[in-house]
Amino acid sequence: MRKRPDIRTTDSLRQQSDAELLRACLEGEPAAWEGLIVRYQRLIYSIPIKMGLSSNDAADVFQSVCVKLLEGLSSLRDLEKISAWLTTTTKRECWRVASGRRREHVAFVLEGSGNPNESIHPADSSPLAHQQQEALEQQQILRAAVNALPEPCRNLITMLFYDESELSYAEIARRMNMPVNSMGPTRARCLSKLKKLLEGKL
Amino acid sequence: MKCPTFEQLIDYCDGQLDERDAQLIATHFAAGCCKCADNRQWYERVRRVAKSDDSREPPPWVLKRALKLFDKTRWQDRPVDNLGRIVASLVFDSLSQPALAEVRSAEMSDRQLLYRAGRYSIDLQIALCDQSTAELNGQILRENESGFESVARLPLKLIGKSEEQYAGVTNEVGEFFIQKLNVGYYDLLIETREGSVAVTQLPVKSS
Repeated sequence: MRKRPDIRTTDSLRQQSDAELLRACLEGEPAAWEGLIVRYQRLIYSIPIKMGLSSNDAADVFQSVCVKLLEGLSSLRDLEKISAWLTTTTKRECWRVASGRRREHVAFVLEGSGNPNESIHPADSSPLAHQQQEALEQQQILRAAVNALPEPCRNLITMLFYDESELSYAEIARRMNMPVNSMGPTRARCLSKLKKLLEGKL
Repeated sequence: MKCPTFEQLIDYCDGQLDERDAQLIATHFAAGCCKCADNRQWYERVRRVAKSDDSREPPPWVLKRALKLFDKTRWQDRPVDNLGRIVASLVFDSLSQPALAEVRSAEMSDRQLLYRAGRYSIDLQIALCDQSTAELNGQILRENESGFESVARLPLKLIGKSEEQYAGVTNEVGEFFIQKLNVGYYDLLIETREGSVAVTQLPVKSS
């Protein structure tokens, strides 16, 4: 019988597939729920922000999407990838929150408390362009793969790819406590691992 | 020139090679090596995706609030079997109620059972036709729902002795009627939109 990997450790959580985490959630494993939410937190939170919602509304959307995910765990349990489901659900929640805000704004103006000419744009919610959505999904795939790398590689690739200050090799080597001349081979090994993780995905 | 190593190729893409080595690799590419072209394309795509990543993490309190949603006790109340089905638990069986004084034996009267599975309740009525056959009538309902949207036209099946004995769908109000069942124990499976609900070892009999 195949032993299910221990999902309680952070490293193994990162390496679980979505379907494995969903099944573990259904078995009542809180760590699996945390693994899922942490994996998709950027995707869920960035969609409302990109659609022009405020950070408060984005927080509301985030919570409602998580509630829907929790409620739908059983029906999603066999999905290998839930990113598409999360994207669609998040977009719908954004529209719902935005239309609620618009109704509140109209009521506010009709009650005479607000000036209709005032340039208030409650939750403008511009539609998420197809390209933007595709880009978000690709970014999600890459981040998840980087996060699934074993720790030294994860740190190295994160510094190489995501550090805004564009660190030099010497600085990365210093932070990783390794000689500069082993940076090249280490980076190549880590990228090979990343390539394997991304096979058929990106 | 033979293929450069993966490391050399990445150095080339990142502009880390001296002019001579870079020229050698450029010549190799110009010769049309597909394997190296694929590796180069992959690396450049990954860099592009990473560079364009302006996604944002939610504030810590938002994440914390979402993590708290998962209340372990809720899942213990909603046991799931190894097939991922929500297993319904029996909350009422008319046969287990004490008989009323001076009321005749209810041996041949209908048996009422009520099961609960997560947000669903399944009300079942078993009527014996004779000593060996029975009818099973039931209704599935979802809590806090005034209409029947969640329970209408749900596929259901009844498994007995490891074989499917009946397959059908609920009607517009979540009811179902199954006739001519041999008395015995069955598993009733209802496919709700939130997952499969299972009433296991359902006693289709009067005692």
